[in-house]
Amino acid sequence: MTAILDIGEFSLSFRTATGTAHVLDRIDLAVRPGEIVGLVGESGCGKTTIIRAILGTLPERTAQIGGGRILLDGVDMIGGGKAAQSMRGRDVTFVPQDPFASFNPLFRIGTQIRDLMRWRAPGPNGSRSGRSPQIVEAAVSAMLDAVQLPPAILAKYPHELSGGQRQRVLIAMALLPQPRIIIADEPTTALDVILQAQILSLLRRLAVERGVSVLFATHDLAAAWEICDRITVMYAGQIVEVGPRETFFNKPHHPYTRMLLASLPEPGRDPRVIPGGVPNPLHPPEGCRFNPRCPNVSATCAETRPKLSTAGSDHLVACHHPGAFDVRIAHA
Amino acid sequence: MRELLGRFSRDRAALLGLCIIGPLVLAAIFAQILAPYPNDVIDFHLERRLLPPSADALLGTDRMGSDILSRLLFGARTTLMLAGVTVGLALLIGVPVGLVAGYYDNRMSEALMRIAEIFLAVPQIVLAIAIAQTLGPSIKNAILALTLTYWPFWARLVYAETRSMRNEVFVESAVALGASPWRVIVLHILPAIASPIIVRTSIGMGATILTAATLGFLGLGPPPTAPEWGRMIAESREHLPEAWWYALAPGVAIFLTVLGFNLVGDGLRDILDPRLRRGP
Amino acid sequence: MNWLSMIANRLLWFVPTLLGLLAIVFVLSRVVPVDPAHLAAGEQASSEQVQRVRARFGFDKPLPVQFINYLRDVATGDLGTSHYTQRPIVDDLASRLPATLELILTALLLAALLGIPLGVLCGLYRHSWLDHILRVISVSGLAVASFWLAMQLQLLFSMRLGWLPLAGRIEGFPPDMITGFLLLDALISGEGDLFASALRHLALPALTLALPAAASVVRFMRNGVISAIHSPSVAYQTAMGFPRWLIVWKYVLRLALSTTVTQLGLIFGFLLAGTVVVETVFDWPGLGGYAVRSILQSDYNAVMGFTLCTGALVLVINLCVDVLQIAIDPRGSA
Repeated sequence: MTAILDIGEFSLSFRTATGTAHVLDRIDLAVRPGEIVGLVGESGCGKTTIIRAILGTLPERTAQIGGGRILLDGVDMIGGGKAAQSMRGRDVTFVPQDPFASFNPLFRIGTQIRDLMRWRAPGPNGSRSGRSPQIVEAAVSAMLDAVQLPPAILAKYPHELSGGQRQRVLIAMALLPQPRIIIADEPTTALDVILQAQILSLLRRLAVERGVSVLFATHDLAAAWEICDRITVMYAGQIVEVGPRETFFNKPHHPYTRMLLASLPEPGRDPRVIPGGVPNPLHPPEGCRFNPRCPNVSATCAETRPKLSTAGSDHLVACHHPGAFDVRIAHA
Repeated sequence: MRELLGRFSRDRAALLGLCIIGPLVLAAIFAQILAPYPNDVIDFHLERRLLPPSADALLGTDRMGSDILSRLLFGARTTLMLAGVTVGLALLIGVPVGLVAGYYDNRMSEALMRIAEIFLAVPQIVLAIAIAQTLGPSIKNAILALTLTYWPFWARLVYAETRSMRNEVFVESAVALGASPWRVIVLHILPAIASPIIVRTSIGMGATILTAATLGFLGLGPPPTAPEWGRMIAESREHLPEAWWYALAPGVAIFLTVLGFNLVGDGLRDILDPRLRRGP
Repeated sequence: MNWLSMIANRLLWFVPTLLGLLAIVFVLSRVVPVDPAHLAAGEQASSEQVQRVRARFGFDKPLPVQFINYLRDVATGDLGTSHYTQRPIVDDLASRLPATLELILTALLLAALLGIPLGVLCGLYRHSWLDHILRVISVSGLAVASFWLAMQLQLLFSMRLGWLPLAGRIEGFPPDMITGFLLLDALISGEGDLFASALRHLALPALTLALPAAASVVRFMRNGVISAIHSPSVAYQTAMGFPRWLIVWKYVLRLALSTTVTQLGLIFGFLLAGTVVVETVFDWPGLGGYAVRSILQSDYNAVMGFTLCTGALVLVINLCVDVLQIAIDPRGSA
């Protein structure tokens, strides 16, 4: 099965006042049709940068693409070509992080949805012509129903809606163009815990029903556990481990992943903190970027970057010494 | 501090502003030496009246036959002194009023800000003209008139900034530690709101110079004998269109001076106010 | 509901503010070395005549009593008589208000027509040559002394080129008074020549007045567009593939306008202050010139009347700005 989203060897850096920040280092990432993939990593590891590269919202003046590919359904998304632009808002849609700031505060919700329908959503047969207002209205109200919102919210302004309602509207807007894949960037961090769970299960249910793929970026392992089919872990601009949900949580291979899982609070055990800090992107460590913090480090780790290699069924890990130590012992 | 200076020196507009103000201040100080005909401030030579610019009189002569360049240089002295003293006095009134009214939340602070608003309810220039006319034309009275009309601007600015500072953690903790109100105001709030005051002071200099020139233009500034740019322009009116050079020099002088202060103010704002700092 | 109380609050504070302002001008008018009774009685009046005038106008009473008397007259719509024009001040003001409003509104329109598109372009193409040039022009526009600019425009367009009249509001008899705005009145009465004449007279003063205002509109719009373009809502719409022109000319424009509208009161105050000088230079028969002349003539009844009139005008404008702001920004943040 070919991937709907295919990122390979993608590198990117930002020019800053103090030098070049190497934010993404040869990223490999794939999302297959109908699959929900979690992109997990700490804040600042480069998740949002990948998403902005796909969606074409990188800062033009400072971002420098170092090489690699981003293909969406076979279309090259790098470089802002016309074909890429026409994918956005149709074949790929977006659920942003901040439901409060992502609406224009001066326009009614309905206006913003209708502009999306008018300019982005496909017509009856996938064409853009021949959509009558009635069909548009019917599609919109059906979708609002699906995200459990009353049609009355169309006449409201963004500030009149709660955070949860706004996030539901954003999910509706992501689904309305009938995309192949939805990119969700920490869609629930601005919400409280109970709402988070509701919104996530809603997103999963609607995506599965419609067979839409989702790339779900989060720093929250628990959230990834809730809704993902597969999980990809990033550390400091490198992909360190990719695996199906079950084996990922039961049999993590990469030392970083293990320490990340061990840092979660669990009954009967104190959460463990990963010693050290995230490396400075201006001067990232050579080889595996995790090597200065890794309990298992060897000379090779600081020289060559480990390639993603098979560590089990559908499970990949980028480590020279995968699974060679026990987190609990290392911390003792 | 060095970082701030560095950022300032990289701001080309602000540097340009400094390059205007610096020589201007020097010109005002050394007017006596720089002026080709320093006595022309008082003397007149009717046989030389309204001569176009020449090697003899670089910017021409005025209706009394005086050298315009000389009067212009002494005019810089008048203008800078007038604006500097006015802004200084307005700060001396406005800043304490704003601090006290902003820090306390009682009837007195309400009353103070109401008084400030009364002064802001009509165009400042009208109030300044009225006061200057009542007191009679002199430099001292022009300063008084401008100070009375401009202090509310600083009072309102400092009031708003103080209000926003009052709930900051560092102020609350100082209060909780038992610091006296005066201590909190002078040692904690005033330094924290210094940046907007400094920025406004530079831009306020520009505005004050324009208003002062307007007073002079209407005949309400310094007395007729004193060299003042606004009055020079007013005098030139009846000699248009022949004596085109007459109004040109003082007009350009006002423009450059105000421009200089505005540019420096803009530059300072970019440096001192992180909210407005230019992004990538 | 929120905005109704805001307007009520404004109106509530208006009366004490205006009273305070009148008190200031009143005190000013009475500390003048010039004796108001002398002025009222005329130059050749004998001392007995002056005495009589003093008693008749109540100039012999204590200041607070005079002030109260003045306020009582104001309440009945009597602002007194001008020593200079010898006409009721209410009539003077009424005949001059339309001229000033016509001038200010034209300048405001010019400032908006010039400033809004240029400001948007500067914000969109930040750091381009257009942005740099307009930045220089707008900083310069705020530094020019308006009386000097007015004179230079007169020198060029009236004296040298002879394209536009030097001063005044119209040539020949004005059209029938309907709105008081000569442009509109001439249009309504179908007098093409008068309309052209009024327009030609209006051009230079309106341009002089509009230039600094346009400069500040450019700056407000530029900053508004820049901050709007970097807002998360625009990033979201870009990611969702909204066409660029739709984002800019619908969503960003409205955000930038809403921040500029909050500055409209400030710009209006700017223009009102500008009329004082511009009307003097161009001999425009409006309130600003009237104020200057009244002050210079120590015609303090007229000055008080002008103060009252502009105070009310500023209030009305601020109310309009509040309402406009609510209309443009549904959040209704006060």
